[in-house]
Amino acid sequence: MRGSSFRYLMKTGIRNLWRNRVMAFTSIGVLTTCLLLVGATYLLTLNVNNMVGFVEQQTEMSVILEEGRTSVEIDQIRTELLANDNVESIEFISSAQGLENQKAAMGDDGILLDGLPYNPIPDVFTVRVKDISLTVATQEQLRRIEGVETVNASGEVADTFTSLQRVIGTVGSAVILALGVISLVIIANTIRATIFARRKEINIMKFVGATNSFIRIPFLVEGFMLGLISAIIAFLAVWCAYHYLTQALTTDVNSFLQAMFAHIIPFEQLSLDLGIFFGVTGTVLGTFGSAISIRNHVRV
Amino acid sequence: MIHFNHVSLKYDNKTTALRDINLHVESGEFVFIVGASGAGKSSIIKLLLRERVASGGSVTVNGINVSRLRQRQIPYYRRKLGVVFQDFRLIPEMTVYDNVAFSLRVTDTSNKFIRNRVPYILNLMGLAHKAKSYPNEISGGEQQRVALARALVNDPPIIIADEPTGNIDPELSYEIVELLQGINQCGTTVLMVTHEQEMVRRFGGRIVTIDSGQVVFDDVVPPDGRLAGVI
Repeated sequence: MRGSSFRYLMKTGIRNLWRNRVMAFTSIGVLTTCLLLVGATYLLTLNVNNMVGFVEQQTEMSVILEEGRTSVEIDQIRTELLANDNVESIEFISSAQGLENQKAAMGDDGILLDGLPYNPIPDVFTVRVKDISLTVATQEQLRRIEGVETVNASGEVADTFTSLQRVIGTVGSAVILALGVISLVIIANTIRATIFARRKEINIMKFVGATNSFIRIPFLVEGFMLGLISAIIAFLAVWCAYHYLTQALTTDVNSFLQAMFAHIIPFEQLSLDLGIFFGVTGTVLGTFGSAISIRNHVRV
Repeated sequence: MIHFNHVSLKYDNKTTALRDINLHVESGEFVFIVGASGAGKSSIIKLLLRERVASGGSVTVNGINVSRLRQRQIPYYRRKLGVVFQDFRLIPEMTVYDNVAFSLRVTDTSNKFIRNRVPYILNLMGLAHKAKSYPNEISGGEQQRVALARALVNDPPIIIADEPTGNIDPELSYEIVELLQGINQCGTTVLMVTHEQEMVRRFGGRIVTIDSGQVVFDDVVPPDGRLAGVI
């Protein structure tokens, strides 16, 4: 195909977009909304994953040893703890060290502990896990080790985040799939309306010897442009919304949430990925939706 | 050039449109195909344009068996035919110039050739001064001349005119047929379908009459000759 013909087809596609602007406007609105929802799901998933990582780092188990364990027995327990698949790292705090830590934590009141007849703080291993979703199972495994009296773990936060991560993953995938289908139907209908509006022109093209691809390319261009425009609008909208939401979340909240929200991924880190994601999704949906209509309604 | 050998055509609803048609048009001929509404004239055009495939027999144009054309070959085959319709089929949003150029654009012709060829054809049709007008700004006769210019711009060896005078005044109709005759004198084969008896009688020439899907008359009649029993 000549360059001049290619340019002519591109121009025709863009001109059709303008001619059919009411339908085009509707399609862009729907496609932009779909992309926004898909983008929001994508960003939420990324951020929840990131926060789960943060929570994982903060989640520790305290493996409390039975009283009077010898250093050989403690080493044996250390080996068994490290042998567990879900254990990331361990730190041993002897009862003496534990008492010192407690005194330091009490500040001036720490002196009160000096009067104790014996050291009530047990030997403890502080354990960090790899996957917080397995916290309860790991806790049970560690408790069964010989010489371990009990294992304390704050499983609630871990469970909540893991559930949240799972729900967002499932709902997100369903939302993305449903919106993808809706977008395709809308684009296909818009192009069908364009084909109907241009049926006379298409008929003339057939009789003067236009090939299938010559008739079809402007419709594909139109679909592509619908997708591209929607992608640009959705990207700009997400940019603004994300910026303001991040600002709102990181001020006036308590220290734990503030620390967690500090792990919200900055937009600059996501902008390239998100831009490519919107651009590719929008243009693929637009072009594919157009192709569906062309296949069904344009025949030489 | 155009050969219909024992051609029959049945539509999906089992209506028989053509029965055992034998029609042979040589290169450079001017043929009127006449007949009443529903006689089968349009079916002949549909077969020639490969809108329909013959149910029986063969249609050969320029040595090409039209029935055996593959789908992707049809556009290239149609470029060898210039077609003029009763309702002009011009694109209202395009100027006269663009309507004519359209025919070249869809066949991947260079811009340089289009810039030279379109004004030449418009001039030939007496439409140079209407190049920037839109179809709704010109008369019916002028619109049909634009349609004729569009059919001619590719320089096809065959022109098929389907009731080209059906939507215009009688005086302008004669003008259109004279234009077609002029084109024919330059060597182009012209097939004109019409039901206008008076006009065909005035021009004369080879006349093929179709009735109930069959050729009932095929002969050369002198201008202003008697046509009793022919149409």
